Amino acid sequence: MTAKQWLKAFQKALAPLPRAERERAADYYAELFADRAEAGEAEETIARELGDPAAAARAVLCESGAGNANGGSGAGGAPRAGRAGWLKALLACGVGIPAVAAITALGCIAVALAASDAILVLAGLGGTGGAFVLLAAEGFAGGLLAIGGLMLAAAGVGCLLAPPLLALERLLLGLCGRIWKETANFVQGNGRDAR
Amino acid sequence: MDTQLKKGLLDVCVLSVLREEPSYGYKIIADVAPYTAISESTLYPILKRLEAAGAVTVHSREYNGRLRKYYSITPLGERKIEDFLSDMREMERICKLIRDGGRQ
Repeated sequence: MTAKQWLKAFQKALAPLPRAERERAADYYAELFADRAEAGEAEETIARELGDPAAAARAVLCESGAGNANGGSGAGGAPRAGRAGWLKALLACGVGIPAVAAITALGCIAVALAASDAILVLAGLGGTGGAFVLLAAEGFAGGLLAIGGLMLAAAGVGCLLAPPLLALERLLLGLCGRIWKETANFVQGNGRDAR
Repeated sequence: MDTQLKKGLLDVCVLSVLREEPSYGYKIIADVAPYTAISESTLYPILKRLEAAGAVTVHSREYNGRLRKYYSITPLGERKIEDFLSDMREMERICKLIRDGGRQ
């Protein structure tokens, strides 16, 4: 067996571990291969003396808590990883559903605020325009002028409210992002602990 | 030898080697092997455990065009050695009791 084959089998047996940990353990053995080769040993001899890659992986898995403490097979970590996956899925449902509901509600509030402000401005401008068109078509009328004035005031209020409402919307959307991130971290963290 | 006892002993053996100078996997094995059996697959978990406990630190250094990881002992690691030696002195007294049956 060559160093490459040994390391490949070793990394495969470390599948239950996170990628960074797998690579770190593989680096350790790759370094040993290199050091022993520099000391004049043949690659096949080193691989033979290092023994079964799955057994070496088992020692790493046991220490990390991902393997079978009684020395089960190298793939023994897989069922535990599977259980961790189920736990993660349950957590994702238990925490994720309320989180998604909260994000949806906050998102709806932000959209409703934006929409109502836009409607206020557009309706105000539209109403003002309409009132002045009627004034021009039908001649001066106090009522129409009052409606035009009120509509213009509504558009003005909408414009004045736009900056604080935009800030509030940004806050709400930021809160949505924060809830999403924290939920993902919580689920990930508990999934790792379960392993 | 009891597995747990051996595990603890090996931790201290590795720390003792590192107390001399920062070292790397292959050399640590070469330094410890004359005193007690240690294999490559045994050393990695030990180093990982010691690093997690803050008893050693690791840094990579370039060697022959590749990176090699060097492990250094920390003050906590040195304290672990002292604690172990203190425990051993107590153990020696207990061994004497066991051997001599408490006769002075």
